[in-house]
Amino acid sequence: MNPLDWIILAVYLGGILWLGTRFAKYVSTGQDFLLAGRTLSWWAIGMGIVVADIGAYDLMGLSAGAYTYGISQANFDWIGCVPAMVAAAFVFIPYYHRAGIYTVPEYLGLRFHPLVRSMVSLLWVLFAACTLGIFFHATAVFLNTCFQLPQVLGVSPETTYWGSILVTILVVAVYTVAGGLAAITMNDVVHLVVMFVGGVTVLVLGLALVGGPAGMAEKIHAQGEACRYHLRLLVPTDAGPGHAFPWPATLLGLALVLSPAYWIGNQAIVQKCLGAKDLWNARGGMLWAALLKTAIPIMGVIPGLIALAAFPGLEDSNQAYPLLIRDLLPVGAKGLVVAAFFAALLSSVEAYASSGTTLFLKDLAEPAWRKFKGASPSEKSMVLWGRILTVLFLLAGLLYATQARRFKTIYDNMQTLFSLFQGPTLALLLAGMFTKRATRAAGIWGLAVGVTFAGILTWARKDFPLLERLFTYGLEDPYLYVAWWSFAAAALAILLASLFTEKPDPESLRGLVYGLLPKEEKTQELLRSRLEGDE
Amino acid sequence: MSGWAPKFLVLGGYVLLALWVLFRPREECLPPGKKKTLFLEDLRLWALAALAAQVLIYGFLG
Repeated sequence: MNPLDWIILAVYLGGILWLGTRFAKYVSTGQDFLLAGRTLSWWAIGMGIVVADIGAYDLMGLSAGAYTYGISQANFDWIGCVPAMVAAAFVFIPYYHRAGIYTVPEYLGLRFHPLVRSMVSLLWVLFAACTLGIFFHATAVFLNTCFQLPQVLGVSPETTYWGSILVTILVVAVYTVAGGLAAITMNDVVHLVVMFVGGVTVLVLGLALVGGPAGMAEKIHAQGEACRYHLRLLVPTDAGPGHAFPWPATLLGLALVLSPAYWIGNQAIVQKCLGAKDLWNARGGMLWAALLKTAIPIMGVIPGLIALAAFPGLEDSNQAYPLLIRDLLPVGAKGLVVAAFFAALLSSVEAYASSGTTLFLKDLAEPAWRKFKGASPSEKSMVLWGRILTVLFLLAGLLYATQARRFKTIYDNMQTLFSLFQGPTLALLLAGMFTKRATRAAGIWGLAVGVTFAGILTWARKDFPLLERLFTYGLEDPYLYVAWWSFAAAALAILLASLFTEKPDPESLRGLVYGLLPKEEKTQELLRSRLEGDE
Repeated sequence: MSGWAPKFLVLGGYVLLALWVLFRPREECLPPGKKKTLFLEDLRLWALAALAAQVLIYGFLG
């Protein structure tokens, strides 16, 4: 990089550190740290949601996916987001917001059983730590490819790999630990603007390189049978086992299971809405994010296709995006795009570190504290533990970074982790919110059966050919089908367990089931007392 | 079932969702406690704009 690029990057990193630490003075209670004191507006929530969602793995992972599978990768940002976000805004967010909860598992604990709350939280906490590892891996791949750090610094690739991860952890820790969710969300606004500017720069210069959209399509089609469906969103079922997104898997696994589970049950996303100053801002934030999401493939998927047209035959498709930056961008623009990449990376890291902390603190540590000490922890100790846990989460991510290298693309890695428990969690949320008949025990059974089945399909299907034939159809990365079938297994377990266990008392469901909105103060009090009583 | 069928399913789904949004109660979608609200403050409009963009995208690239 040119000195000008380094200056742009340094100014950007210095700026976000300054902005983030400015929020430290507003943090005095647990609610301030975890939910920004419930003061966020729709525009900040929406931008925060999008930036938390499109992390570094999206810029690199989406372009790697587009390089490998084509434009069908954009389904993850279109049909895999927008319908579920609309449903979340109109149906689910109102329940969470009015119930005054901090986390999604808290709702599940109220509706089913405290054990469900602990199980789902534990899964999410583990997932958040693994996700951080994936983000760190993405950073290392990006920096090593883009800057050729080992050659420039004259050290081994292993040294630069871990060095770049440690620098990232340090930057995020400083402002996340200081300012909590408010600092994260306001930095997200800056991140998104920088990401759009950087993303559009890559797009424009990339398209110019390959002769515009028509030139790009021509070059991709010229690569023969392997790229036959690269410009189709809904891929036919006969595309072959190497193609991860045939249209039935896209509709069943992605649009009906993974996407709603993500937008309704993902703590990193929902937490932003729970920090809203009122319900209209919470819902408006989600819909504003849906509008912004429509433009995201421009920054991730299309550059992947441009890279395919410009650099065909790459062995590691994760290098598609870094190569575009390295070979395409002029002085100044490179610094801006690298800053955009850091923006994406930092926003994802901070979102998952913050949500993991919230889940651990509110769903696991606080109930245990109440049980053993007989009272809630003080606000001061909540803030202190929130900060300590954030650092511990970042360090836990380091451990998983070693495993993250094994997957074909970074995006596959993320989605495989998601598919292990998102289907069962969605089955619980839907059964809990839309039926009065789902019992407390059914929640535990549904979750246990669904997650076990997802684990078997992911790790043991090769040992049981019948399972592979019936449920994953011989695909190499069948995470979309895993999500769908684990959802179906959990739904079936909930249905059967509900038939054979005692019906819940209708009074115990007030404010938790669709049609019984928790508007009145009486219901709010009931929810609060039930929550404390359960623990 | 390939060719037109997936596109038909997707577009049909989006149209149904848009109709569901359109018939949400208006007061539920406006900012609370304001006597005068702007047309653009109706959240149904935001949702319909997002869905319309999806229909166009899947109509052309599906």
